[in-house]
Amino acid sequence: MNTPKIAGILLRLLIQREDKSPLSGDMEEVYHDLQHRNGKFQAWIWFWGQVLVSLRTVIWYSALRSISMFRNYLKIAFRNARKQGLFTAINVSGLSAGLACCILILLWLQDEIGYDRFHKNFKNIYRVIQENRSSNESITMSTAPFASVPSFHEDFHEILYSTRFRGGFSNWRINYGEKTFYNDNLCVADPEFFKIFSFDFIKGNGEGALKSKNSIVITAETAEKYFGNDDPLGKILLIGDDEQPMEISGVLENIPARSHLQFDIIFNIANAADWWRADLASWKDSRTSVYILTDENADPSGLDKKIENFVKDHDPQTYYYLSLQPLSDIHLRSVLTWDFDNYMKGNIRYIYLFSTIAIGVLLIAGINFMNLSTARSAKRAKEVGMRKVHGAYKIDLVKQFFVESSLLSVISLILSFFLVFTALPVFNGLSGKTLNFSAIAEPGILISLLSLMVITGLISGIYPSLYLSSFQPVNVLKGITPGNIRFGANLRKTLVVLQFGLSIILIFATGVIYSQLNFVINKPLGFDKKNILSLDSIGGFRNDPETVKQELLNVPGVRKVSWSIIPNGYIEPTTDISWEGKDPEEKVIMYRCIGDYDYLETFGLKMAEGRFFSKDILSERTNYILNESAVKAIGMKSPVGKPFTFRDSEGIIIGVVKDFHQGSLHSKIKPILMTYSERFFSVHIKISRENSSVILENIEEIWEKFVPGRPFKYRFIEDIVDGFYRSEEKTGNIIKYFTFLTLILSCLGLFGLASFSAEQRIREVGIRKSLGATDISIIKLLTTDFVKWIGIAVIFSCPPAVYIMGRWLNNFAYRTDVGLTMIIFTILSVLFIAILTVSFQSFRTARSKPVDSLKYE
Amino acid sequence: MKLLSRAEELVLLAIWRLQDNAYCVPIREQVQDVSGKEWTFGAIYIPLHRLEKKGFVDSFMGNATAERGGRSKRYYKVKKRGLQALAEIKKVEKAMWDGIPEFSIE
Repeated sequence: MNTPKIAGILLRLLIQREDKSPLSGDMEEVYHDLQHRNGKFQAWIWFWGQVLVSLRTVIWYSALRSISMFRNYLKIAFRNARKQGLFTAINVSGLSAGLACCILILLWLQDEIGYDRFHKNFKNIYRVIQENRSSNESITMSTAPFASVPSFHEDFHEILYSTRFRGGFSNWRINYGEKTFYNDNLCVADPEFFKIFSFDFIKGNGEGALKSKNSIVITAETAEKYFGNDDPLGKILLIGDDEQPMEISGVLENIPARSHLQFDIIFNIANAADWWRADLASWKDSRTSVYILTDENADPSGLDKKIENFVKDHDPQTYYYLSLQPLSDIHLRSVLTWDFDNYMKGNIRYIYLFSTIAIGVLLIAGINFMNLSTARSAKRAKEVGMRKVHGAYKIDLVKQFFVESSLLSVISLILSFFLVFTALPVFNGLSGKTLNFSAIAEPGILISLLSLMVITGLISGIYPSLYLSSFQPVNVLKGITPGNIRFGANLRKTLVVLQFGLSIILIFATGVIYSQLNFVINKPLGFDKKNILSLDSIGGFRNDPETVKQELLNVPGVRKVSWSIIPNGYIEPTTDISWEGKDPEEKVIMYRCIGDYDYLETFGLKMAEGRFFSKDILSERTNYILNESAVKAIGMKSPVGKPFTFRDSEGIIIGVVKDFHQGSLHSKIKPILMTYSERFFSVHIKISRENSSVILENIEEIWEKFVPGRPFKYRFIEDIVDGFYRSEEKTGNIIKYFTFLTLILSCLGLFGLASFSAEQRIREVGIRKSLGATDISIIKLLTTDFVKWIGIAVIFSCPPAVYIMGRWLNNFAYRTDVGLTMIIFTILSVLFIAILTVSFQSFRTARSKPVDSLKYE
Repeated sequence: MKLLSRAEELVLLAIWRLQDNAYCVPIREQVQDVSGKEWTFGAIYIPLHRLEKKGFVDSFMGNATAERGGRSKRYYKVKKRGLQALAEIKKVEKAMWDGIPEFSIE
């Protein structure tokens, strides 16, 4: 029969006197007495009643005191903020800029990390990827052989379902009744696709969808485009130029933005066999991605090994190795040479980079906050002394300054929300994302934001409050400045060194990124990327290439026309080649470029030796041209005229073309095999630089004539090539803003420190001036110290900056050097800005009248 | 003259009356019996504490019993100063009431 537990604990908490034991003993005795006489319930009521009555009293009195003190703290905080308006503005704007920066990056991180997580089986989905190894290079691809599905599923019990997928079919003509549409984002998949991925059905379901070759599934958006408000289920669409009828068997919710798979219409994979004229049971042909869903208890690394061996057993000649890539790695950690169907692919390194920057910027803002608060301390010393004389304990003062710093950090947070709200469109433009402000309300973000604020408030408040509250009233009221300033000064200077070090690294990084971008855009590529138009060939364009070519050449301003593949996109690797004196064991990869006899001149390539394909020679189909790298890869001396075999066609090498950068400068020049063909999927048109809009109009007319009704879509080769560096460009743009912000914040910090030190030395300056020092010498005196500290920051930050950016540049096979000029430029600009900041304050101090500073003595 | 509040007076009297058994629970019962209303423990502790501080009573720890959850009792004993105070109050009261005409509340 014990007393109520919780009430008992409360009671013991409430008794503040030293004799807790007899007091609670008394209560217990009465409780037991009551229990005997009136029963348990009444006793319980009595006990709780007693406790609650005292609780009310205790709370009332302590709350009354803290509320009234809190009101006083707030009032003083507001008064101080107003009184020192400039400092408050610097403080709040710095912190809110830092916080806003952090929030933006947090939103971005949240978006990046959240890819594909909506799939229920997220943890157990894998993509099969392949690696092709050869003696000269190794290529990784996101595709796997057609035959993987259903072979793996049948042979390995851990694999529950498997599907092939290939998207990216674009600009297809689709008819519904009278209406004609052109649609991008078509894809093919096996019916099991919906058993693996959780795309939600609005109409129909995963069981029935894609069951037959003629059934398709579309997204809600597409359904609305075709049918408006009508029910799409069971409707027939006519697909492509040959108008294959397809029945709609399901409608999906729109594909979530954070999905690496994006599509509008999904077809049964059986159709692709017709479109590609491919054998879907082939182990040699891999044009689709393969996804598998494993059992929850499956061991992925074991399965990995099994699959690798399985393929080897199947085909001992195989040159590719399959492995598994978890779904969670596809968005951020995928580093494949060719990564197909990976929408808005990210990079984990940028996640680390931007997290570091966010922490760095917040650190700088926090340091500023601390520095500026302590810098004001001299002005508050008398207040502290007065409060202590009137009976304030140290803890009361700590509380007071905490209230002040929390007040400022709350204001900063509110301001930073506002900043984020206005900056979000700009940030979206820079990062290519569609982040939404409302994402802040997500619990994950909200919690991390609040904790961020609390931590910032705590850390930046803790030092000033401890420092200020430690003043000795006797000294400060006598006018003696507190004695522990030396330690504080060193700490603050170290912090400034840290800030500037960080700024220097960022400025340097921005400089290097831009000079490398400049380098890659302007480097001679070995071909002329300018003014080449690339058109997809469809419909009538494809049927009569020679007439199309003639018509195009008749357009004034068109210089050359060539049927070929786009050399700057995906070019097919092959190892099925042999040449005179080849070691049968040796595997060499070459990339196959296909084009007609105008290819050389259209792209402005140069021959190293031999000749290019010619219009007048009929047997060009079995003639081959290599580039210099390919010749080097097979180690052939004087290759022209030597026999060469590609697939089953024996022929000879008729020429060697000079190396050119067909891909990005991230990688070395590839060994290229050029084969002849008059018809291919793209036509490339070299036009003159002048009047390009008129020329384009004329070309469009020809397009209209051959491919009526189709939208005229073209690309410039230059845009494709420049697009290789989009992610670097994006990074450079974002970093540029952060650099600017960091520099500003660091200058604010330096400014605060300069004012602090000027205040400390105001009497020294007064004495020096009254003894005849000039303004200039005073400015020099006050500035030299800081220049020294910035100098230290330079010394400490240059090696890591050079090291980090050197590693970044190693991503490129062709790169600029981290030049000395860049380093010197960085250092000089930082020094200049720093001196400017400091001398502003020094100038004010130097101009002050000695009378004002010395009248106390 | 040693001044006591009414509550202190009641508590002090209760302690004297209880003699060897004067710890908080019986003191409270005593006071409740005399005044005929409910007293919280707080209302007893505070005058008790004050009496001790003023030097009218002494306290010492007694034995623990099971029905108190193993907690010991604190016994109180009236000191000589306390007795003097009581006597003085009684004298003053008596002097005050002397010669007052009879009255009835009815």
